[in-house]
Amino acid sequence: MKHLKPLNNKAQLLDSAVEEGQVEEVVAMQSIAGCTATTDPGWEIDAFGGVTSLCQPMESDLYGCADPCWWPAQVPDMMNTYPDWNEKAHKSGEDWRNLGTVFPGDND
Amino acid sequence: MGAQLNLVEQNLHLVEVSSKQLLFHIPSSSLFELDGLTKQVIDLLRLRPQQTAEQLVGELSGFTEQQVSETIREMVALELISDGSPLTAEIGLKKVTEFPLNTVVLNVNTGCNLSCSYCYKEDLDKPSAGKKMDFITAKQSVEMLIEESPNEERYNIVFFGGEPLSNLSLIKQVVEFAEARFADLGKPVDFTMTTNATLLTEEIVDWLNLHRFGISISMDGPKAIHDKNRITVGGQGTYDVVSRKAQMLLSRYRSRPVGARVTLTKGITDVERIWDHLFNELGFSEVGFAPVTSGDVSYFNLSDEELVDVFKNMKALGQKYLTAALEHRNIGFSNMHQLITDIHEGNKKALPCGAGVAMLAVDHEGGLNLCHRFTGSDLDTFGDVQTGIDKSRLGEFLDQRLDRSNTGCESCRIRNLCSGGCYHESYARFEDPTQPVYHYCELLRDWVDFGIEVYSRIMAENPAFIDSYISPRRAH
Amino acid sequence: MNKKNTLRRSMAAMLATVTLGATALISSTVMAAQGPALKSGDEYMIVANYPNQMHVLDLKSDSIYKTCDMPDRFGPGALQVSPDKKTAYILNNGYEDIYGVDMDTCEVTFHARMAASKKERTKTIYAFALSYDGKELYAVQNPTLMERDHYRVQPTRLAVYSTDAGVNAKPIRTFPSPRLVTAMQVGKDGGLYMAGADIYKMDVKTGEYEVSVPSRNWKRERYVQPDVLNVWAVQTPTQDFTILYTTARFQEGSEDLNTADWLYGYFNINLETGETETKDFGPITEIYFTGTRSPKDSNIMYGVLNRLAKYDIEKQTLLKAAELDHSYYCITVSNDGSKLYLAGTHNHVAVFDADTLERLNTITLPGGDMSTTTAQVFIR
Repeated sequence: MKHLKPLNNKAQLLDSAVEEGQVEEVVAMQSIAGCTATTDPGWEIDAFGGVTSLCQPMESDLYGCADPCWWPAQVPDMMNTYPDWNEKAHKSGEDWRNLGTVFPGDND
Repeated sequence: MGAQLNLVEQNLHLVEVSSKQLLFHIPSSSLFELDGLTKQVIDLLRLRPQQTAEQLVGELSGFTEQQVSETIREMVALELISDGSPLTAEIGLKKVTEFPLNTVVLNVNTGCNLSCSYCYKEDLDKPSAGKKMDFITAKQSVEMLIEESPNEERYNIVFFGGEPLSNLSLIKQVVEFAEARFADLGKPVDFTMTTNATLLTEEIVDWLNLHRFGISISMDGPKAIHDKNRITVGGQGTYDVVSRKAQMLLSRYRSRPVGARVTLTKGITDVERIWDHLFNELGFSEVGFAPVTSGDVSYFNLSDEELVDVFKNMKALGQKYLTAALEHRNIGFSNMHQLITDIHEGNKKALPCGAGVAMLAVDHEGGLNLCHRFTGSDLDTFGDVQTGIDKSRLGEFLDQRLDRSNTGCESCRIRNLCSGGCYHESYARFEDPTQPVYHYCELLRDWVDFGIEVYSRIMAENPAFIDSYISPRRAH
Repeated sequence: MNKKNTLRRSMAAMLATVTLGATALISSTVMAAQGPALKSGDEYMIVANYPNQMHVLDLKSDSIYKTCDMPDRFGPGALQVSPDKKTAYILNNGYEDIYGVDMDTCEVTFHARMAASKKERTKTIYAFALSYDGKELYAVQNPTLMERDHYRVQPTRLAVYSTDAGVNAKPIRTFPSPRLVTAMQVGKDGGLYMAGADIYKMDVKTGEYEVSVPSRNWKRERYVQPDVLNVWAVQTPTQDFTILYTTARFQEGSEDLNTADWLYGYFNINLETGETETKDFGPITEIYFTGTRSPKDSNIMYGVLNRLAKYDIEKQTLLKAAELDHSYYCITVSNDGSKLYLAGTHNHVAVFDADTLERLNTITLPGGDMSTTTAQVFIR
């Protein structure tokens, strides 16, 4: 929002909700996949500085990284915290749209 | 043409802090800082309601049409402005049918070795006549908790009384049982207790420390104040022994911070002096104040003038709290901590507390009460641990508070923080726990405004204070 | 939200629940026998995938022979085959349990929970193996004690189980273990090879271990430390325990990485003879996750990730490469060396001619991704 500046936690939540509500089109995937603050080759660029040695397509590597909580990859940790993340997407290549973003537990 | 726009006054509350215009969005407990344009829109609609967007654009010649439309759109999205469409129901919940219990309060002994004048326990007994809970009942209470809510992340067992330490053997049994039981379930369980401290020994303190008890000690302040009301059965002041025991505990207790719980009663309003003694001189981690406004024995109630004094003094200590917070220091003023936490998190309370929903208190016979204040009271219990919670009656009771229609709460600006106030206060004062506590509404509204002021200054000048001292206090 | 999208989503969700519903009907402790017993003399392959199954593939026909439902939950689906080829051991349930599954009946005949107590949360990161005679099972365990409001990491340990201990197996011996071990195999002499920072060999009776093949701490003149990624302990037809590495070798007299030769190589331990090898086999031009040598010709090394590649080890040259439909993690080879099987990632097992690298077949598994499962080929 442009004219109301969020100050507390609730206001921040409301702020993003209002923004999203204005988007009528198909909501593009909002989480950043594969972008990491580390330089582990394989998730942003491969060992050679290019992209051809990245797993192809990215989905094929999704659970290989989520299962063992492969730390440089920005996927939910399926080893402990989000074991059911892919319960609607066992076939990652076909059903990746069923994978959602995850949030820390919120008991409001 | 366009729809006629009106402000939804019951959804907004403006607070000015250091020349910044803040808006408290009441339905969500969000806090925003307004820009000049938004403030002007509000002022204009207050001056002349039912204007159209076009008219507003015309009057706000200093701004472009796009800016004004944007602002109106944002305010409509937040239901601060209405174009006539029906507003979202503020409390979506109409009936309480789920009881996500995570806390059970066990009244382990109605007996107490002290005779504090203002004590609200209707069932208080002399130590010799104290009715003690037996282990079977305690065990059933824990099992009830688990059965009602098998999926909570953490569980709490609170030991209450009378004086809980007068039945330490039961507490020990319960702790042993609960630690094993919850370990089996793979869930953490926390134990807490408020005590008058007179029965503490080094051994007991070490045992409590070992099991990581959250401890509050009931102390009313320096000797002169404490001894006025916190007396033995024979009428003697207890400050000497209590402060000695408290200091002993504070010197060896490492597992969790220890707080002091102060009761402010008739004639006692010097908040700062009490805090100073308990926090600075004795060394408690924090001090929380509970003003007596609706005691059973109305003699001890703070008078209306005294209540004004209490809030004034709380605000004065609150100013010190703010000064310290800006210097990244925590002065352990629990009431402020709580208020700041509620504002920071934007807690929206449909009900005033967790009584009956997240927490139930068990009396020595196993009867289920809303909370510890009600055990032994005349208010009927809501089932018992042997046969289960009387959910329909409990739900009915809570539903009454959920429905704010035809109450002063309906449009009150702090309705989602206060939510009508403590059931027990209402019950004690009006003999009706569902009646909101109107006797200090103005003071509480002012207190919340003060909290908003303090909070916004902390956020502007030292937000790290929130991260260090406030965020860790979240309930979950 | 676009209506079309939400419709498509709910269809997918419905379909997903239908398949889940079917498998949920089967109890987790007693697996119904699904499919026939394996035939003596035939060659098979096992793989595991989401939602939680293990498949036995018949390699004569390159088709699915039978499917066993696995208990609890999938993850990682790492597999080892007993020496008598009757039992498949699977690491599953979020890396917390090892189950022994009778491949003929799909019955769970062995089950060991890695955690030693209710208070522990213990994971095995792929590192488990069977003794040469199949009587013992070894697992490297990483325990964490879950206290009321904090965790306490415990030392890594090697646990030894007796494989006839049934469905509530407890360790018969435990020893302190080197950390970071992600693949293990046992030699004929009983020694347990543990691939971690270096490749260690442990005496499973006494717990003593020493470095068998240095890796991180290798001393090769002009070579930098190797980089190794390996969570697939493939049981090869030639009894070779093979792990790939990448490294760089400086030019003579230089320490400049920009002019160094970047090389692929392998560590090898022959489990029968105990012979070890550290050998470069070619320049790095692309990444491989696993590699295996041809049983027909030990001078041929195959590697796979985004392509299937074949190298001449002595000449250190790439002989041939085949394009793939997507990445595969795990390469295995048939006993006679004629076919290569690619597994892992999605639910396709790709079959290639080992000589021509022509794609022969694709076995599509029911269910979802194989992720990091270990494919194992064996002759019953």
